[in-house]
Amino acid sequence: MLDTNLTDVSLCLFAAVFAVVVVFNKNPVVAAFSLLLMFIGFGGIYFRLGSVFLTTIQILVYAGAIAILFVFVLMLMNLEETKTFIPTKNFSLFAGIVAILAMFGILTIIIFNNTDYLATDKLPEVSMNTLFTKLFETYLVPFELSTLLLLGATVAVVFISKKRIPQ
Amino acid sequence: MLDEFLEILIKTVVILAIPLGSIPLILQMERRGAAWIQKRVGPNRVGPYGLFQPLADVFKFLFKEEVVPSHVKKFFYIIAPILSLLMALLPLAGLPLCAPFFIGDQKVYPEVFRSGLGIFYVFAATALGPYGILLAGWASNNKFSMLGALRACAQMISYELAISTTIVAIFFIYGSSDLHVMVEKQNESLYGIIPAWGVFLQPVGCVLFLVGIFAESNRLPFDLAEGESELVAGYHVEYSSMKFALFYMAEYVHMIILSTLFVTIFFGGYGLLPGMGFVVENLPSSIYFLQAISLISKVAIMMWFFVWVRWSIPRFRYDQLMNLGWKTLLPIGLVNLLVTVIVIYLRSN
Repeated sequence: MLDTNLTDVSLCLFAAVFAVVVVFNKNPVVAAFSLLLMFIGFGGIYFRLGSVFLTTIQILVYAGAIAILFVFVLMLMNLEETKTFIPTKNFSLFAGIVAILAMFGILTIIIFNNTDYLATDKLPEVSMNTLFTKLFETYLVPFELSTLLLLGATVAVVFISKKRIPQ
Repeated sequence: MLDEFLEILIKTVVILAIPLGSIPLILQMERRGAAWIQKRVGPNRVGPYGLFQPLADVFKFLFKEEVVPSHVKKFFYIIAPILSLLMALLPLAGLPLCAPFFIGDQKVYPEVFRSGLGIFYVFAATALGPYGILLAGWASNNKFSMLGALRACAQMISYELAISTTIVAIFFIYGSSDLHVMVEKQNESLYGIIPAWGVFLQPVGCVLFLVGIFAESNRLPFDLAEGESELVAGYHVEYSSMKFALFYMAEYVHMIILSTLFVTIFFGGYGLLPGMGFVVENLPSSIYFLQAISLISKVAIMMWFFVWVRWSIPRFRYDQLMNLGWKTLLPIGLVNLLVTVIVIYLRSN
């Protein structure tokens, strides 16, 4: 059984609290910094579960690159403090609550139907060799397909944001 | 449990004391070096040869009034310098000062945080560097600070890419991300004459990394974040006394860490300097000490190189900097990576 102690609980709380701050804080820059702290909290959880590799990738990619771009763009646009991010119209509020409840329900069902796959012990330390052999031999095609998907998305973004030249 | 705690404590104190303690010396070297290059006398009033000048600086920083301007976002304004130094110190935990040694029959690694990832941990921790600067620029609530922070951040992100292509190439060459393995492989000799240092195996990568270091640590010729003719002082305009000193220290720690990483992967790391083999033969127990001395000497030479470049090359314009990063260094880095991979593939067959 995974021995849960105070460190694990406080890491989860850390990530959860900053996740809530991201949604409810009125200042976009503070929200972006909370997102960063949430990513770091996730990194800590991965570390406690025994995967140093995942922690490093989490910090390098999410905290070091993605969150920094969010902060950077928000600062560049110099956004004023918004009134609130909570939708005020009744319908949007209702739809939001339904969406949250539905997602929570789906996740609960998935987790409780697949308890066999839950980590009950610390993960074995996976070496980078085994990891990348799996990625580039066993799962080569799905991996390459996902990169194609990202490339397609990039091209689409450039196309959408491009100024249309009048005929 | 207590032993483990004590071990980590000792390692942490040593690894923090060496860079933080050498900052005053580096500062003095920079000032006297700048004076020497510009044919000035330089600071020589305080103590013999002006050696106590850094001490005088410390007292000045400590006794200056703490000013918090009224228009700043106070909480973020105060944590920004602390965060800046903290993020700068993080990568130190993964850098080895000497080869793993034995106490009794237990193998002890000199790094504080020992993981199988080595260089990737150091690089991940370095990637957090821009946050302190961004936060400082934003919290100062001042257009000059903001522009300085944005410039610093954009430039660090851009040059990180060029550096990362080099790190991947180096990783392929040595076949391991462990810094100890890299140093061991570099201490073998190439064709029996020269040491198999990374600089001979990856000359293009070495130049890319070197340029990247200057851009990452915001030093001349890439110090556009604090271009004083345009931005007063960039992201730390509003900071004074000890808070300013923290930014200053963070910049130097950043330089030290990147230089250590640079000499570790390109110049044989803690591999002994020529001439030291004689001492080791006569006194085998001194090897770990001499390894640390070798590494520190190599980093000191890098520090002098920083000063040298600072007073030799004028500042770039910002568009030139961005063009250099994205249109020159990144493509060269990618081609270098491709060539490296092809050569490794051909040699393995």
